[in-house]
Amino acid sequence: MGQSYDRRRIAVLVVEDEPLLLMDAMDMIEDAGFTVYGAANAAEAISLMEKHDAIRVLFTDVDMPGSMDGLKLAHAVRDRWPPVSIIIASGHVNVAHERLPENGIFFSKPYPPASIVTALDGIAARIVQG
Amino acid sequence: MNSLGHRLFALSDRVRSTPVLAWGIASAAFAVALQTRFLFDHLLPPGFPYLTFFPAVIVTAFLAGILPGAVCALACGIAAWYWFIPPFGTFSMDTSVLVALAFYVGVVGVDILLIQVMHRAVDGLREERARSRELAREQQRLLGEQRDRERQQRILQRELSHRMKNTLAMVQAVVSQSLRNTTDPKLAAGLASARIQALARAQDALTATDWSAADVETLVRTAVSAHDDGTGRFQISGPSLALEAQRSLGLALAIHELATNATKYGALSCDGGTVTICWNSSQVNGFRFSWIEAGGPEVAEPLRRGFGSRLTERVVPAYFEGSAKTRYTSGGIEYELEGTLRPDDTDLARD
Repeated sequence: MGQSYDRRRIAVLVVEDEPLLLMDAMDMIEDAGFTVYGAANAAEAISLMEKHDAIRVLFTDVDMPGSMDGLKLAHAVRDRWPPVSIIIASGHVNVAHERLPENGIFFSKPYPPASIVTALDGIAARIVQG
Repeated sequence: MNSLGHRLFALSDRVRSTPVLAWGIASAAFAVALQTRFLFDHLLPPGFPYLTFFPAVIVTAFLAGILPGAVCALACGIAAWYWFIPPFGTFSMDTSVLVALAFYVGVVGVDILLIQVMHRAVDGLREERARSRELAREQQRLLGEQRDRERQQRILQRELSHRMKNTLAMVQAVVSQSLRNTTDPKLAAGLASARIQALARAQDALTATDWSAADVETLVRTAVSAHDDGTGRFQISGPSLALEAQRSLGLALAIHELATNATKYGALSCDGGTVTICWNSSQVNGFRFSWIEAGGPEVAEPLRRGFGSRLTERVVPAYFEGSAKTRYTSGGIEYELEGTLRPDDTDLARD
C-alpha cells in the first residue's frame, strides 16, 4: 500500500485504561505517521471526539472501568459519529461478533502491532478514496 | 404402608409418648371389654371367659405400648378369672382353671410380643427412611457445594486468563518500548529482560487468592532486592497497605527504573550512597510514595527522555491517577509520586 496520502491528516483516538499499553499503542500509531490522541476511559474519549474533528478512527480496549466499557463506547461513537472507523481490542477472545458495531474490526490482546498498522492503512485508504 | 396404616401408627406414636393418654386408653379398653363381656354374658355359651378381653389387650398394646398392654392384660385376666371362670365370683384354683389361665397368659403374651415386634420393625423402617432422607439432603448439599466450587473456579480461570493476557500485553509493551529507545539490539534485549524480571518479581508480591493486590512493603522490598548489595543502602518505611494489582505492577516498574538508574548514575553507583523509600496513605484514598537518594554523585537532568523517565514521570502516575516529580540533586535523584490508593469505588464495576 503506497503512501499517496498524508497520514498525519488522519487522527486515531486510542482508548486504554492501562497506562503502559496506552503509551505503547500511541507510540506505535504515531510511528506509523498518524496523528494520535489517547484517553484512559470512555468519558475522556467522548470529550476528545467532541473537540477534534480530525479523529477518524477509534481504537479502544473493551475492559475499562467506569459505567461505559469499550463496546458501549464503540456503539456510542458509531451512533454520534457514523463515519468514524472502529477497532476493538480485548484480552477476552470471545467478544461476540454481534456485539461489535457494524464494520468494527476486532483484535485479541496482545495484538501484533503490524496488523493494527495494516488495518489503519486500510481505513486510511478508504477515507482518502471516499 | 397405606394411609389408614399411617394414621394408626401415627396415633400410636402420639399415645405412646403421652402417659396420660396411654393409661387412659388401657383403663378404657379394660372397662369397655368388661362391660361388653357382662352385657353379652347371657348370650355366650360357657367356655369363653376372655372373649372381649383379647381385643382390649391387643388395642391397648398396639396404641399404648408394652407396659399399659401388659397391665391391661393382667387386669383383664384377673377380671375374667373372678367373674367368668366358674365357680363365678371367686378366685378359685384347680387344674382346669390353671390351664385356662395359662392359655390366656400364653395368648396375650404372644399378642403383645408380636405387636412389640411390629412396632420395632416400623420404627426401624422410619429411622432408615430418615437416614436416607438425611443422606439425600447431604448429597444435595455436597453437589451444590461442588457446583459452587466449579463456578468459582471458572470465574477464577477467566480472571486469571484475562490477567495473563494483560501481563503479556505489558511485556509486549515493555519489549517494544525497550527497542524503541535504543539502537543497540543487545542493549535493548538486556533492558527488556531486566524489566520483564521486575514484572515477574512484582507478580510474586501479588498476594490474595486471585492475585488482586499486593502489600506495598513486600512489593518495594521485592523490587529493590535485585539492586540491594546487602550493605544497608535501602531505608524502607511505610504503613502496611494493600495495593491493587495494576498499581502494584506500575510501582514495581517505576522502582526498577529508579534503581537501575541509581545503580548506573546515582546513589547506588558509589560507596556510601543510600536510598530512602517512604510511602503513606493520606486523606481519603490518597497515596504518596517517595524515593530519595543521598550520598551519591551529583546528577543532572537528562537531555533526552528515555523509556525509564517517561515511565516514572508519565506512565506510573497515570496508574495512580496522580502526578510525579523528579528532582536532580547533589546527592542523587528525588522522586515523589502522589495519587490515589485504589480506583474510585464508583468506577470499580467492570463489565
